[in-house]
Amino acid sequence: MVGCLLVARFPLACELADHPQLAGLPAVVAGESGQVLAVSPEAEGWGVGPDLTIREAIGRCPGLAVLEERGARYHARWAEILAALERVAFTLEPAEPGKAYIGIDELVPHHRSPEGVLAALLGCVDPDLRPRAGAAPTRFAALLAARQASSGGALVVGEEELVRFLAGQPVAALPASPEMLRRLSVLRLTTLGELRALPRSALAAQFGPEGARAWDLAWGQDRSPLRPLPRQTRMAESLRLETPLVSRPAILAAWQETLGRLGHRRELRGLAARQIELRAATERGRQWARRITFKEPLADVHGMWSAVRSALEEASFPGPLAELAVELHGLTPAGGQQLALPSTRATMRARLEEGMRQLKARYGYCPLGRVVEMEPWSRIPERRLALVDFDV
Amino acid sequence: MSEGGRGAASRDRRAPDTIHRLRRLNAPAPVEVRAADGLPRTLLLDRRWRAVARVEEVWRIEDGWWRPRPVARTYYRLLLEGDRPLTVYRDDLDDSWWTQRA
Repeated sequence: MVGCLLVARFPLACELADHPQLAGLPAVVAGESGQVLAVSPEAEGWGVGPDLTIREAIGRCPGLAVLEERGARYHARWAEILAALERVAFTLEPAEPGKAYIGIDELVPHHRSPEGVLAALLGCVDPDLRPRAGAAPTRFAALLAARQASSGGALVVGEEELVRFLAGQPVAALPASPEMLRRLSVLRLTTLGELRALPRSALAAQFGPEGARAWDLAWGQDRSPLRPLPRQTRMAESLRLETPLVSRPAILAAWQETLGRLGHRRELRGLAARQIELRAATERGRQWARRITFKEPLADVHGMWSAVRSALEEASFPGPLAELAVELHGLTPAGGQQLALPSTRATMRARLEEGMRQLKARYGYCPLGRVVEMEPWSRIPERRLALVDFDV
Repeated sequence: MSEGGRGAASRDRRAPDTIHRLRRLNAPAPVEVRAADGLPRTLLLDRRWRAVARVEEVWRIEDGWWRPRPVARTYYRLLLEGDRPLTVYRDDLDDSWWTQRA
């Protein structure tokens, strides 16, 4: 049995969770290109759809609430949900933000019933996002069951009910092209029951492989196994700031400190990272993210900093930064590297690092710091300068 | 400021975040003040009450009204008895007194 966890219209769900006063009102999420990205059911009642521009949408619905797309925010929320699901499920196949498929059978012995499994999955999502869950013998039927479930609820469709359940579903629920759906409408085929009454060969002749697949889905014959994501080793470090940072030197210093702490973790010894993800959030919740792939796996913090520094110097942040995070992806055993002959600078650096390790062992923290300008123009004295740990 | 926890790498799970901090320099320190007519007259420093010989300058700062904790302060540059300079401010939101190098 396959489970489906669904947060419909995920970008809009994230925005409504952050702006609960808009619940029940016509609202859309506007993409960067000026197109409608996600639409609330109330806005759909005014004729607003994803194929419209914002100007057209407002023309149809003058009281429309338009929310700006925050891609990094949606990505972060979805990543949180996946991380929570990974702690519950053994087999997890994310489909797209807001939709994930989970293997149910292997979890039933622990949760006693499919309903118990679905309740555990729903517990992985913030209720403000209004998640739904469904379970059925096939992936497609599980998705339909999730769509029919109430907000925060679940629906289980057993093997014996599958054919009858699918028969009553609308043809518009098929994952088919708009052209095929239009032609099915012209043919007055409105339910999957009517569709599968036709021979499979007839649908294949009319619509090609898409028609054959639709017939298979209508009969509940999509039994392909779930394809879980390969598990990657990750390591993250974050920094939360009481006073948001504005000046570029302070932001770079904060990033460098955060990366330095991550790079000096004992768990990272002997490992090299292939990618680094930098994330930041303003005090108003606006997110910024950048992922950088190294030319070769890097184990050295200085090499990582050289690779990301230029990106940070040119980055355009959405506001004063209140939180920073660094995450290393694709950790792999570090191979041997041909080093240069020792230089005076390298020798002095090694001695300095050893001295700092001894200080850390003595005091439990690094007592050395360096002064960084944060907001030297500020009228508030404690915001002008900050002390950053001098982690080499 | 947030205190940190230890993070860990996991082969199967995402590593939890570790929160760290930048330490502010020149953070204000609380001080006990006796004021009259809105001006500080004596301060408790080093366990002794010291009189204010002269108030040399007064200025006001307001900032961050849109934040949950806005800043509203009245600064006083003082000359204490014995020609000791000191800068204090009164937090206009809760009427507390603080010393700080301005």
